[in-house]
Amino acid sequence: MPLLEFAVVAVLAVWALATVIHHVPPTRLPGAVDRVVNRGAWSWLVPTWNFFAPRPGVYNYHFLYRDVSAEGRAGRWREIGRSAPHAWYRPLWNPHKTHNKVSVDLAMDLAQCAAAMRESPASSLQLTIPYLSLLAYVTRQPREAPAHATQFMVLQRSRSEDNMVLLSGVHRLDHAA
Amino acid sequence: MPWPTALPLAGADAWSVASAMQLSVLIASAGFAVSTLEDLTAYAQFRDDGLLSWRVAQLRGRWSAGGPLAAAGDRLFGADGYRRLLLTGFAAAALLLVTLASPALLLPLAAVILTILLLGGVRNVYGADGADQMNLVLFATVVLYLVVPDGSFARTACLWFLAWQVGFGYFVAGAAKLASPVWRSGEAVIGVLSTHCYGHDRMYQWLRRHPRVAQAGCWAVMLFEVAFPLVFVLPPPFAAGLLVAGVAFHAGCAVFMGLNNFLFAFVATYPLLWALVRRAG
Repeated sequence: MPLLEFAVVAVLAVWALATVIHHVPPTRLPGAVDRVVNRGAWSWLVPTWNFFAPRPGVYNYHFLYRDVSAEGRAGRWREIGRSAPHAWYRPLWNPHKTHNKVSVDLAMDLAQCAAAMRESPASSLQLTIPYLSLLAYVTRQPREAPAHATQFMVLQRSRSEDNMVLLSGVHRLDHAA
Repeated sequence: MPWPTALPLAGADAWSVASAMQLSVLIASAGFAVSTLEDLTAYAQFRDDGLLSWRVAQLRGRWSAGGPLAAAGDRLFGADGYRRLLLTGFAAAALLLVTLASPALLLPLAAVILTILLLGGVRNVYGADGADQMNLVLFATVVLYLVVPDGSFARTACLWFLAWQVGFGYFVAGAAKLASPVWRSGEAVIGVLSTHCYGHDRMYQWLRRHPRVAQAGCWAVMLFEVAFPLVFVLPPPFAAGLLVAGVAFHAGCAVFMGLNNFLFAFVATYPLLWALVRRAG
């Protein structure tokens, strides 16, 4: 078999094998295999086909922030990134789709990081990508003057319950408003 | 009753793999064009002050956080660079649609879309969904298929890889739901439809009042998904029925959950699956 054809078949075989491995519970995999397939730099190439299962996403996630003055007085909580109501043409045109998915992914990743780092210093969580993503997003929001620092919160809500996923530390702003 | 045997895309050849591939690429390109336009319309999320800021995402890897490739990463994935990537992807998809996936342009344009999908996967930490994954599988299959010689084992492997991914994907999705008490009871669809992200308030309220319907709907979805791989062994009328059920399923997801991209990405694979079913028959 010529080299190109062999390479193509090999790529497809590896991709298929990785897909199967990805759907095996991680606890049943050797550590090295789990690290490469599920947590490696290219693991995003491996498809995940079990959408909404076994635990479907039934929560809404809300990002809130408040500013803190130089005297330490905290302002009111304000929600950011709230999606617009669904339009009638959503089945055909849904530009809010990505933002909605990003919000859910980020909130769930933040919750997982917070759970994994519960025993670690707070600074460890504050250096994770989901925390930094949300912190960067919050610090670019309109400020209530005078704003010396800011704090954010992630709320998980369903029709029957509210849970606080995370209450951030208080982060000083670069320029006080 | 004679089955449709001709598609006015590849000359007089009746439902060949080439015809099927053109149709598959057309459907996928339409979906990709819509998705990239949606992202371009809601581009604020990709800017430096958005949730998908490259300024934060670049911190994931040494190559992007500093060093000789970081500047290239900034140009490619920064606010202006990523907009250019999306526009390029949209242009490629639009060209495929306008030329009806002309065989002369199929490989280069499919390769462009595949590249944009891969670069998007590198850049964006969050936001990818099953439709993006299926688009990646489809366009990768198309490109690999077209670079290897006609009649080669590698070409056959490409087609069966795609078929296997689709069949495996549906089966895994259905099996995972079957294993879930929330899905078996019907509560899952009520819960999902209650959310803002994938919800539909009127259907949620109606299903709350009719939980048996919700349960029946969940079971219909689960059984359809686990049965989908039978499309490769059933007689053509029943195989076609499964594919029609798939179209209806994804159309329902588009209407009630806003997942318009899933309709395009998954249904795009059906012409190639059908061509394989007929070839194997």
